[in-house]
Order: sequence, then structure tokens, then C-alpha cells
Amino acid sequence: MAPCSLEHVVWVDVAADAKNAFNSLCRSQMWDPLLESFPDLAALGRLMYGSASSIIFNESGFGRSEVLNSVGNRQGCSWGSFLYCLTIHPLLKHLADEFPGCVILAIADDVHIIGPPELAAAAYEELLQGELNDSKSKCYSPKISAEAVRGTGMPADVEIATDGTRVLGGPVGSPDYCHSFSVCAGGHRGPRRHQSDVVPSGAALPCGGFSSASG
Amino acid sequence: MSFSLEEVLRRVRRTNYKTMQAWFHESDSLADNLTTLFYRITAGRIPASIIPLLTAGRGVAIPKPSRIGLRPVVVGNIILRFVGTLALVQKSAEITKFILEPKPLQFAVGLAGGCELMGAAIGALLS
Repeated sequence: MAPCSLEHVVWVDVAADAKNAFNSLCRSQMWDPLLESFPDLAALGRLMYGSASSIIFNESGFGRSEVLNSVGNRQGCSWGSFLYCLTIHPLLKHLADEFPGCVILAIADDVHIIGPPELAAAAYEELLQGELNDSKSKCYSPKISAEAVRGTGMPADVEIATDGTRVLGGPVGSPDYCHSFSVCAGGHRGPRRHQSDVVPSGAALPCGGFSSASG
Repeated sequence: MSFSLEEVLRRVRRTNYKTMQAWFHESDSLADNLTTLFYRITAGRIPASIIPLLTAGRGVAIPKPSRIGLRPVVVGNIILRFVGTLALVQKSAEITKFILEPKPLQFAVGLAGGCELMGAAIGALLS
């Protein structure tokens, strides 16, 4: 990672939101990175993702239905994040090589481009080439006005904030922004859900018998 | 790939390990067969007719907080999840090296506290 220095005072952070990233990933893109980098895991990967898998819904009152899943990462798969990261890694490496003046950091489909605004805007345009959801992407510019950042080529639909932003649910920004975030943290996420919201009263627990519902 | 179940379990959560340790230290046919099954799944050497049973998931529709629309959640097969996790634990050092070298790009796998690290890194770069 590039060392923090005075040069960074005019940097911005662009958080890119990919359209249905996990759901839409073509599985054929997984094989080459898997075989090349982790050949020992290829057999298990083929078993997990070599053919379409079933998702079975059995809701009380609606009966049983089956959905075939042949695209993207499978929910409920312990390899979901790993395979997604493996698949997008060449793209991120390419981006980092193309834009050495920026720092590219990602947690799965949450990709951040940090750098000078004109370079960050260009890297953003290059990333996934049109597969980004501009209206959900965000730019945080702590030192430059939103108008100035917009003038560097940042797409019109990308929201630009100058006080702070959320990075993976946590606040990054001015002390005031972080303070207000911590005070209003519950409000940012909407109303808390209770168990009664998840499972209709009187209905059988849909996942009864399973100990985990993590995806 | 092959791995020592004992070694891998040691690196999984301690509570799980203690439970599993007692289970696998008992030399009985159930433990032996289960271990064989795990190895065969890892190597992809199981009958084709069994694969759909392992890869199928139970779908659950959860109302979104806005109460408009449903969020589908899928519960994967516990055996496949377990074997998959063992394999990733076994490879964690290689995975970490892959995503962090020569320059750190991703923080989602093979790294403890990835979310906090990324938030701190972005904060530091912009400060």
C-alpha cells in the first residue's frame, strides 16, 4: 500500500457498486484463476460449481418449489467470497497496474478506488466497464468541493460527499461526521428487525432443523 | 488435495475443535467413514448422482426491512460447507499471500478483521 503522505490531501475515495455482482458472475470465469492459482482446490470447486444446483423453497401455505441456480456464487456456500475474490482479482490487478497513481482496495464486490479525483474517475470508468450501478456508487472528497470533483469526469449519478462516507458500515470522515454517525447509527440502518418480522406468527419456522442461516 | 483433519480442526474454532476432537479420536467405523467421505468430496470422487444432494440448498424468503419485497436466503448443505471450510482453512496462508502480494488488493478472505483494516486504510489514505 502506498504510504500516507502530504500528496494524499487531494485524494478522493470512490466506492463502486457493481450490479448484482455475486448473483451475475459467470461461473466459467472462475475456472482459470482457480486452476492457475489453487490447482489443489480445483476438484472440489468443480464439484461445487460444475453444474446447476437446486434451491428448494418450502414455505407453509405455498408448497414446495425448486429454482435452478447456474449463475454467480451460490448463497450458503462457504466458498462464495473466495471464488468471487479469485475471479475479480485479475481485474483488480489490471486496474492497479493501469492506474499506479491510485490505491485499489476491495472486500468482495465493495471496491474502493482511492486517488487523485481525475485518476479515480478514470479508474472507476474502467472498472467493470458499464457494469457499475452509478446511482449506488459514492465518492468521498474530504478536501475538494463536489463541483471540482465533478469537473474531473466523475459520472453525474455518482453521489459526492465532502463530510464523510460509510466504508463497510463504519464511518470514515470528519470528526463531526463520525460523531453524528455513531449517534444516529441505528437510524442509518432503518428500523431494527425482530424475530417476529422474519417469521410470520403461527407459521412453521422455514429453516427448522438447520442450525445456521448464514449465506 | 489432502489434509490432516486433526491439523485443520485444530485451526477451526476452539469450541468446535474440542467437540470434533473427541469425535474423531474415537476409532470407530462412523468416524472412519465420515473422514473417508470428507476426503472423497474434497477430491471430487463421489458418484455424480450424489452431487445434486450436496449442492442443493434450502431457500428461505425473508421480508426486507422496508417490508417491500423478499430477500431470499439459502442454507447450504452442512457437509459441503464443512468440507469447503476445511479446505479453505488449510489453504489460508496461500490465499492470504495471493490477495495481499505484491500489493494488498482484497481483504475479504484469508484475513482476520478485513473490514476494519480496509476502513482504517481508507481513512489513513485520505487524512
